[in-house]
Amino acid sequence: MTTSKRFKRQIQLALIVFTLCNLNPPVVFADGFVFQWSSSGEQLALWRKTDDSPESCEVLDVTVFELVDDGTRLRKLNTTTLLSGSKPLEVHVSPCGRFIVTMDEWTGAGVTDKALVVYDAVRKEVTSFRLEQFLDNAIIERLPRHGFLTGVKWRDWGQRPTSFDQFSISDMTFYPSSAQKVESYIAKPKSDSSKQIPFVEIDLIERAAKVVPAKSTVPIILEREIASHSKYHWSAVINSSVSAPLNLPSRLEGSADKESTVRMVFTLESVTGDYKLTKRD
Amino acid sequence: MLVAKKLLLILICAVCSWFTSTQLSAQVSPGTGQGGFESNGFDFENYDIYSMLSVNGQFSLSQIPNDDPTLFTDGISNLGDALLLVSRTTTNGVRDVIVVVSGFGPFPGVPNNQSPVVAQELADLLEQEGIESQVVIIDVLWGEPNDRIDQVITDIACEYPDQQIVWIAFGQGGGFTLELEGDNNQGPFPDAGGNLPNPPNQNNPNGPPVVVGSFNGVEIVEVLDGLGVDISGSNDAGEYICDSTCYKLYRCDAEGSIDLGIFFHVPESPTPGEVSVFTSGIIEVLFGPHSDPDGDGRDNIEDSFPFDPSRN
Repeated sequence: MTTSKRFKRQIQLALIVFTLCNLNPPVVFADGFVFQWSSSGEQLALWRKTDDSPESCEVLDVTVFELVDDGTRLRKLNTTTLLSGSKPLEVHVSPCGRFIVTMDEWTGAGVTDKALVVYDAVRKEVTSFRLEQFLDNAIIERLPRHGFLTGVKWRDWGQRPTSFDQFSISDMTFYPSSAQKVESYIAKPKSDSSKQIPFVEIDLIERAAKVVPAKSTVPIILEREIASHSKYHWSAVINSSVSAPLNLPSRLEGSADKESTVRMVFTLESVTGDYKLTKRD
Repeated sequence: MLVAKKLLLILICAVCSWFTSTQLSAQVSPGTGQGGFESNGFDFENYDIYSMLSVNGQFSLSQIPNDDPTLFTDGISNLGDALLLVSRTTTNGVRDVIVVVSGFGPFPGVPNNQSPVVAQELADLLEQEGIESQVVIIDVLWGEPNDRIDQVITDIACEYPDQQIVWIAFGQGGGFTLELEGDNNQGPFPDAGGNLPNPPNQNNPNGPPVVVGSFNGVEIVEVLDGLGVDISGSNDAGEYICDSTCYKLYRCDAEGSIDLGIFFHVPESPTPGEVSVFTSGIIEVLFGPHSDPDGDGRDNIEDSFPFDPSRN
């Protein structure tokens, strides 16, 4: 069996049983993949890992789908093969599906040659950065220690609906940190008040990263309108009274009772690479 | 009369009124004179020893190291008006506190998490000290800390309704770190099951943004550092499952469902010696005679378990 066929079969198996339930973890997917919905609920990024073991963190590639036809079809946009041996801590997909940004690795935060990697799926270009390539030594020396990995914390977005919100599609930029978080480091000193994180702006077109004055990236009108008009969450009835959001695409709106399971079956359309919803119960 | 007073070893039952009936007990040594302690085979290791001086009719307490060899060679004549022996154990040999010691299972990039190793070593030391403990391994899954901590606390509360619960959690990180607070934020990192956190990416959508631990973090770090542990305090538990655990524990502590919750990160490859110093240091700082868990800045016997801040 060729690698391509094996991959297709794995994806097919992955999505044949597309099980969603409203308990923790509320969304259960097939092994060996990480499913990441966009904040608008219109896109799905599928990370393919080397295996499904708990310690597995090497990601081979990321396929981006968009949800079309009233949620009955996942249309494949592209597949991006990550740099060999990539173990990204975070994977971010731009709302247009063209760019993928990975930050830090499970083997170390800010201390590997893949501290920041920008993939352009259209041009098939990859640019990887070490911290020293876009941060001065003076800034690096003031970075706080990472919370749970070896290395340093050079970015902090804080609370976010999903990672997709860190993109500005109006000027094709990506922000690893929020202005609010950067300022909070200054206003509210951590245990070591000399520690700070920079506000970095990544130009996706130019594939360049630089420190700029902190600015709010929130009022991105188009993204916000999409989010505000989308039927973002399913409502799960927990304890018969409290609603809890589920990480589901907008067009699959619905509700589920406690301990119920919503099962959706997608089948692969081999020619296009798309998936079609064939069953939901 | 004075000599008799000096040689008197008092069983100050009245002191027991400082504690609840199931708490620490104060006893008299069975020794009857100079050099008589050791020959009687009395097990001083299980006692904190306080010299009591009478000043204007009131007793003043000062602690004596119970491993001081001069204590037994020189006798007790110069130790004060009386000795107060405070048992480190209850009469059944177990303090009325249960210590839950937790670590985590494997997670991305970490097939062999060190936190359960440290947790087990601490549990073993606690057992040697006569303190009941329970080891819990938490799976690195989003939502698991909330569920598991609730489950364990409920089980203990049902089985031992009168006992206090102390939860000491360990997670693997970049070094020995005491997490001073938990953040109500879940980073976009996949868990051991390959799942990302669900919106709104919060540990508790109805909870406060930050929950601070109730312990005296500065002192705990200082004491451990003084014992040789290369440790620092941190306000950033990492927005991963460790932070979820930290946030949950500190909320439980604040709400009173446990009596103390505390979270430490440990290095990914600590030496056995480092682990030994660290774990024994934790017992010293949280359960030892010089512990100050109530954070009042005083070294006093009220700091011994069970905690009772109202006594300070």
